[in-house]
Amino acid sequence: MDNLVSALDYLKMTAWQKFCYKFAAFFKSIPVVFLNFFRKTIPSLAKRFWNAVANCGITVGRAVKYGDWKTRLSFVFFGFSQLARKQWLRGLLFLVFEIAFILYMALFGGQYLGLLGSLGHIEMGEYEDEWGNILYTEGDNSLLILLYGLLTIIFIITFVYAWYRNIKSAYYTQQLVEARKGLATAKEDMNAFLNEQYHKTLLGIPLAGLTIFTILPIIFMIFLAFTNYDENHMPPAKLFQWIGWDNFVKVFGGSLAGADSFGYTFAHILMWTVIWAFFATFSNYILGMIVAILINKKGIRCKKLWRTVLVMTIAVPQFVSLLLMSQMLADEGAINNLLLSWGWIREPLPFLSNATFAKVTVIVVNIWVGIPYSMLICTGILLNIPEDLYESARIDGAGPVRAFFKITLPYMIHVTAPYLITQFIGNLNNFNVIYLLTGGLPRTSDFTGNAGETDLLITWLYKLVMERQEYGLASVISILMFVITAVVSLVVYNKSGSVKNEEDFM
Amino acid sequence: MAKKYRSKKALERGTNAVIYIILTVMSVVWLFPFFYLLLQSFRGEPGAATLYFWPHEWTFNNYIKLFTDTQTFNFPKWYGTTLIISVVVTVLQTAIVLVTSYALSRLRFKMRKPLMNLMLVLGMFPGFMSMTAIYFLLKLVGLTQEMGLVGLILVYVASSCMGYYICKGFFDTIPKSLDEAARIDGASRHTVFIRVILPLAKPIIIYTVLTAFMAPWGEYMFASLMAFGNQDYYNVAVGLKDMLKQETLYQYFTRFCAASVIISVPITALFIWLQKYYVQGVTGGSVKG
Amino acid sequence: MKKRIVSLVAASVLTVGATVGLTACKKTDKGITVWAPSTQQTLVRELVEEFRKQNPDVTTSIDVGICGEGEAYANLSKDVTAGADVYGFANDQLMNLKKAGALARLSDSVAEKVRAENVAGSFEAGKIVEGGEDHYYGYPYAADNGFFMYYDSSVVSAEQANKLEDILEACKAQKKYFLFNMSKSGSSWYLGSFFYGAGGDYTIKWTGTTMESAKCDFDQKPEGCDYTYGQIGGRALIDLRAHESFVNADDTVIQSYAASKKIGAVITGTWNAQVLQDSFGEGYAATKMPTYHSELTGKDHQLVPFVGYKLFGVNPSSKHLSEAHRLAAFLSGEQAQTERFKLGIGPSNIKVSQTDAVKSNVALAAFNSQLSFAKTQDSLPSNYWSSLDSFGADVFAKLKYEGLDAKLKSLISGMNG
Repeated sequence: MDNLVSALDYLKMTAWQKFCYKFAAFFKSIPVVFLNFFRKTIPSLAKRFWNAVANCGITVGRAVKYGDWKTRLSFVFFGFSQLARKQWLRGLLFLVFEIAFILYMALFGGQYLGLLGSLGHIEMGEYEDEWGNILYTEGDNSLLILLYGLLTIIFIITFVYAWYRNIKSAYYTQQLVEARKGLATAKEDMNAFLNEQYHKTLLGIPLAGLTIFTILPIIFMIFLAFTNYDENHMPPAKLFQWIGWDNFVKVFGGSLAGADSFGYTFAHILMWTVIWAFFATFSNYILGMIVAILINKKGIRCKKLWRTVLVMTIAVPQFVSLLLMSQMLADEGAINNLLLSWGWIREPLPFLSNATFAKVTVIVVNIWVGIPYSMLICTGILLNIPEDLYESARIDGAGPVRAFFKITLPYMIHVTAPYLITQFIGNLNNFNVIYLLTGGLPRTSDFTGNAGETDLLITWLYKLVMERQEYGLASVISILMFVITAVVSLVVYNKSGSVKNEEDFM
Repeated sequence: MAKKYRSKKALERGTNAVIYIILTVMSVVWLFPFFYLLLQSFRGEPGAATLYFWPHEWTFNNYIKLFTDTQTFNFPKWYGTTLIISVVVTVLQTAIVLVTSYALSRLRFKMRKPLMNLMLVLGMFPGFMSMTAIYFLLKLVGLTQEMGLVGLILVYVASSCMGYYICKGFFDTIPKSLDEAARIDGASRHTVFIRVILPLAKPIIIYTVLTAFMAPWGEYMFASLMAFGNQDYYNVAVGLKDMLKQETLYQYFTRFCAASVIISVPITALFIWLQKYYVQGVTGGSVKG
Repeated sequence: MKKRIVSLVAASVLTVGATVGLTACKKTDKGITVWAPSTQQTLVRELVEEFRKQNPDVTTSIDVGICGEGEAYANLSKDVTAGADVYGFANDQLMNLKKAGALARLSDSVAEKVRAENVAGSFEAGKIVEGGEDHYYGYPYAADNGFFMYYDSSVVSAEQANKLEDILEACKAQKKYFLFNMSKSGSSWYLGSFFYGAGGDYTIKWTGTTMESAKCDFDQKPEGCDYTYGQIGGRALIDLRAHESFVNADDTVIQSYAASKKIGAVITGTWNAQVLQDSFGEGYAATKMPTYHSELTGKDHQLVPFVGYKLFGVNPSSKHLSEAHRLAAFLSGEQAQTERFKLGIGPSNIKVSQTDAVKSNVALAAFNSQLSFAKTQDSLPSNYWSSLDSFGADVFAKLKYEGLDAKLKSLISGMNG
């Protein structure tokens, strides 16, 4: 418990106050955790990493010192020690890996690795042949050099690690033979996969996919932030170069107060992103809960029908439903037209064309999108509340309203806190609703970089990349976004009940 | 006493009436866009969304033309492509999510916590920023152009282990004593997973299947990159977006609506049918005390 | 005991390596790909057949893919080497396409031939000056990429159609509307016409494909006038916004108003010809952009539209460069343009554009009637579009005269980039 209030005061609070308190405490703790991340987490990680490296060194050293010739030959020929001692499966796997790696480097990886420092020298060339035809020569492609170079580095790291495992295993095999203990047979090796080593079997493929398709692209993008990749440096026609921190300077360099600078636009869009995430999350949650309670009330018939009606909206692809919404809500759209013809309004309501109006509209439309989901979840929880709690409340003479505030609400808030937080983080990066509904419009001349009033960071980023080819700048912004959301979510998950209580059910 | 009882009953009836009104209004609001879509799809006169609601001319032609007039826009082909993608993605993604969640929920190994945190955080990265890199990685192994569909499926599936959160939560709620009993009887971890845990995981499997199946129908960004102008590899989202271009909007908008209806019907049916499990899955997982 | 992970990685490395090796060896010949917009798929397929008949020596396969002229750059910039060998593009993407390495130069002899066959503007639209020489990068095939005015002659008379004020009054009298894209998506394309009409100009200095400088002179004053071009054009836009018969319209709105028969006059392009013909019926008519009257100068100013062209480009990374050039030349030739006109696409070929059929086409006649004063839409920087878009949004959000100068200032500084 942080020291915002004393423990005694805390106990006196109602459930709602407790929730608010926890909420405030949570946001208050973010900067602290952020600082701790740099003060404690990073040094401790570094220390652990260093220890691990030292341990590896010791292992290798032992293998050099006490290893026999078979073990020592494994330093160059992977798996030699195992093969020489008739542990075929392991030995063969190591050997095959080594050969594959050497082939990869010789045929493919080596050339890209060499160019990584400069990102290429030769530009695409043009020449005229004797008949006056214009022909072209291929040049270096900076993009591919960077990407395939990084891929090669990942393979090299894997290779070094495999080399280490190979030596360790070679020495271990030697020791076992010397101690006259039996070596694991190929069959035993395979069986371990289904037992002690089961997590490796299960996680092998998912993690390989994750590394290649998520981690490598992210590293690639972080490196892009230090290049001048933009519309004037587009591969394969032109090369791009390393430019150091220039892109970061461009984002933060301009004064935050003055219009037209990236910093100003960034700050404003960040603010709106947070506001949006807050309202989008809580409006959905509260209204979804109310709807769930209404449907679940005793004596309401056709519960399934009401739920189904709401759930139907999930099935229409969002790009269709939101497109129709944006057309209906336009100044000249069906809704305004209807209101005008009924005489309720005298001129069109600027649902999507006025900045403030549009911000409200997207939040309201998001309620339309989100309530079916939050209603389903709240329904599930409501059904889970033990009936005897209500029973005893009724015996104590509590009416339905009091029962709601005494039992339902505290239970809901307690149980759904992690869900709320997931939603909040999801909404920070909610691309679809904004992009499909308003496309970030209406525009304003206060912002630069094609940004509009309802743009979130993520939709702005999309425009920077797709409309302006500002890859370098966009990378800087996505790194920033990433750091912010990642830290917030790490804090949240590790503080929230579901992680702490993980073992409760076991 | 009797009077009070009656007034209470009247009050009850009153509140219920109010609730019915609220729910009816909500249903109207929620169904309105769907209804509008349906009306537009039966509209005979061409052109983009109209200002009036009831079509002047009713027709079923928009639906028929979708399947017969395939010269310009080959909807049946897109539909088939998307269906194949969806089914394959669903199978693979469900397998990966289940396997990852089980490992993170039940097995204890050194890197478990850091791994969970890592997967969580990686999901926060804007996906489209990785698009170029992923495209050229796939190109490297020949999974673009003619092999684009395989590449696309790989992209959808490759990182799906990051969606372990809800499923792991569900596994966490299955009592650990079940595993231990089986272990004492000599079952391997693998056997425990297949014979003990999976049979209990029906709601979460259905939840995962549903979410995995729905996603490819609306995915545009990667699909358009992988199709790269070749209509043979379009999914419905890419194809339908093409219908809304300047030159084709007038002729094809009503057909676009018809196509959208056709896409939503099976998903709606699936959802209504499996709703119960969806609720159990999601509430068993994401939210618990 | 992480050997198994190692072995897994080894296995995947092996597969990757093997596939890389295989694809490297395979490198099958993919033939030629042509990109055409969805509406022209059937036509281009037929033309390709015709091309085969006329050129039996070309043996490579030819595929047709989908890509609208407006999206050529967006698509190609993802991966030029995998893009089409021949593709259509709108001429404002010229510089960007060249910068991305997606355009191959026409040889001098071919360029000479193409110049002789097409209207001057369309051919020049593919020109880039490099090292003091004119280099040409496209085969023009359409001259209809611009906007003009359609009107319902039962609402607006041919004489009224010359002046914006008369049009608005005529619309008001019959409860019809004047549609113009002020702040919808793509509005910046149309908005410039008010400032160019006032006499303003926007010039870019190019060295090769590098933009040296952009100059927007909307802050200058015409001779003998106390107000700037920006103020003249800006106030006209503000006045238009305030008029009750004005409707801010993109294609969707145009079509929905057309269906409800609410349009008196509308500024749009050839792609909406069918829409408006269906809506106006007997009254269907089209003409040049109208003039607007400015209180500040006391004069009528002719709205100056953009004019753009569509060209076929050839991808320099094509494996069949010379065949691709021949195909592009054929697809933009006289025969192809005659066929294409049947889809309502305005020809750039001189002979085809002189035929009676083209001359009697209402929309194309209107388009051609304003060529003398229209501004050719060159490659413009993204700042140009975003600044004007923002300005349009500000005007549509009911900007007042007093607030105009501040908005003009950021417009001009934005356009100067």
